[in-house]
Amino acid sequence: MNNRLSPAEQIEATLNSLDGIERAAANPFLYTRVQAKLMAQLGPWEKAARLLSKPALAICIVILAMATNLVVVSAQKNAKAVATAPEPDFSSEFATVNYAFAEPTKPAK
Amino acid sequence: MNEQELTARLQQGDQLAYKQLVDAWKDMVYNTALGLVQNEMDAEDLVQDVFVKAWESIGGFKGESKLSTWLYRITITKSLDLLRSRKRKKRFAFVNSIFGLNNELVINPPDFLHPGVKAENKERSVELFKAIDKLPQQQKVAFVLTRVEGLNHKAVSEILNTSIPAVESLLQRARVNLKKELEHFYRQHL
Repeated sequence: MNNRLSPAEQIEATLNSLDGIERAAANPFLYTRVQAKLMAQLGPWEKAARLLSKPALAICIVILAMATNLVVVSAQKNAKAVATAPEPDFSSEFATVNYAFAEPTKPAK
Repeated sequence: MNEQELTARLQQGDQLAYKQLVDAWKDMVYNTALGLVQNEMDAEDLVQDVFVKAWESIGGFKGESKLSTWLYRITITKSLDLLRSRKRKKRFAFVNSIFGLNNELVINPPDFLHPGVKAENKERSVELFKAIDKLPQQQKVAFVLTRVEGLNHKAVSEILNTSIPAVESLLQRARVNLKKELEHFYRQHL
């Protein structure tokens, strides 16, 4: 600062100190930060929806679901092929069929 | 892509259009916020808030003004909100210090140096920014928009939703107040 100037000149020079000012530049990664802030403000359902709407993740989920279906279907087919012994039915197991109750005998007089 | 197309795509939630909006106007928003709040970290946070607000409220934008004018308005509102909250905090800290409610050290912010000021003017501009900080809100906004952001009076009048003579009057009063403040400073330091 030039102290040899009069106070009036100092003031005028200070008032003009913004002459030729250049615009300050924002952070080059601003967009990423804004995106992060937007994500932080979303509710859990909106976050999940946004996440699921990403093509890579959506395709992975579809492939996973299809693979799970295939596994389940093939497992069911295998299960049908295994021969299972017929279960004995209740009546034969406990011999309730053709069971004759003995007639009560009358006491001799 | 012209502004109407960009607005329409933004209103449809187009992320690519949003990136374009941020990239095209981030420096304008940052420079304005920086001029008003005089702190780089606060200005950076403000820019993020401005673009989040823009994304949230683009549905209500009717295209009656330019997108840049609309973004300037959001920036000014957010910056003035921050300045008000800063003032409240300062007052609260002062009251607390009087009653001895907390023993926190109140640190005065360092001198603000705008990165775009010419090297030979840097020292003087520090004093000018201190004086700008003491201006009434409307005068401060008008002065920063014209001298820091380099807008003409017509553009400022559109942003502030007022007439050109009203802007000229604001700038005239701002200059008088700045002179008074600088006179006070140089009387003490010369």
